[in-house]
Amino acid sequence: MITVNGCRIDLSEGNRNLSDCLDAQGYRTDRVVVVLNEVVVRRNAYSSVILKDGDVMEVLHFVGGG
Amino acid sequence: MEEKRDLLMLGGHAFTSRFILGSGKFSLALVKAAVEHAGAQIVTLALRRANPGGADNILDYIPEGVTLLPNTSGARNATEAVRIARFSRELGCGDFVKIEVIHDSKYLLPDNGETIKATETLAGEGFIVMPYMFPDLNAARDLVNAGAACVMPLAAPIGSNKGLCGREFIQILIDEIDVPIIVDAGIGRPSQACEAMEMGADAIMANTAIATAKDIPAMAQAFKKAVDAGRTAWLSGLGRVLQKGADPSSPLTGFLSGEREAV
Repeated sequence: MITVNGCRIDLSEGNRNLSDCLDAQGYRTDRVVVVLNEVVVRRNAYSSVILKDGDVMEVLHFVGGG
Repeated sequence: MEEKRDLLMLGGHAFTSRFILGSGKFSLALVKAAVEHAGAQIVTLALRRANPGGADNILDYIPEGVTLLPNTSGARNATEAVRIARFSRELGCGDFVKIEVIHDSKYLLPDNGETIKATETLAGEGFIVMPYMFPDLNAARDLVNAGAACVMPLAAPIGSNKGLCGREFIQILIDEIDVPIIVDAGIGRPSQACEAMEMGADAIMANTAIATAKDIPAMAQAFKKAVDAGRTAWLSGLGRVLQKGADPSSPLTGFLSGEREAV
């Protein structure tokens, strides 16, 4: 189980890879920054990152703000 | 002869617009029109958790060529502001950051001390730091020494549309601080933006005044015109103010009534 933006998600073969995990949840990878255990993951590294139990991930994007 | 351009310089970048638009509280469908009507070349954004499902993103609505200015809203101290700024830069929006450190949830006043700390760290990392601040001369000097590209004193509490409540203190910053002074927060009407520019402010930032107007693009355009008018007025040198009495605008000779000598 991992935590994504504060929500618990079960890991499976289908989403253990970071790239697959983001795709499975429908994130637009061209518009987000991924912070895994407080470390930024660059876009070109998504497919090589394997998630593990206990990981804490933040998927962030820009919204309107002043 | 080539006309000398009046440029706003921030961190080595030149802008012809002196109106920075905040993008909060808009429907996405109106963002593009607001930016275009405002003539804005800089637009602020906030970093938040993304929603799954590939929903529309504000970046899809901001015209190409506009400089993105992520803010650090949500930060309650310098450490959190630095963290947000670093994450924002990873989105490929460039090196600009507007530092906003607030832990007062009632009045939303910025913490100048924490803002100075964050400015020092981020300027050292190559960010072009634009700190939002309470208008205080000592803090402004510290921000400049910490590497700020400008200072952004509030006119009134965020989102209040109350206008230039801090007028006298902003004037002190204009008179004493050598980096651009960008009046941010609380400006509620174009006339208030114009007045701040007439005082010598280098630029205006506004969000709520436009986002809460009935006709958002039209209000954005009104602000643009007001900022331009105020800038032109300041560059022109405002006329003097009499302490008392009056000074006629028309000649005091050659009146039509009374006797005159034959020519």
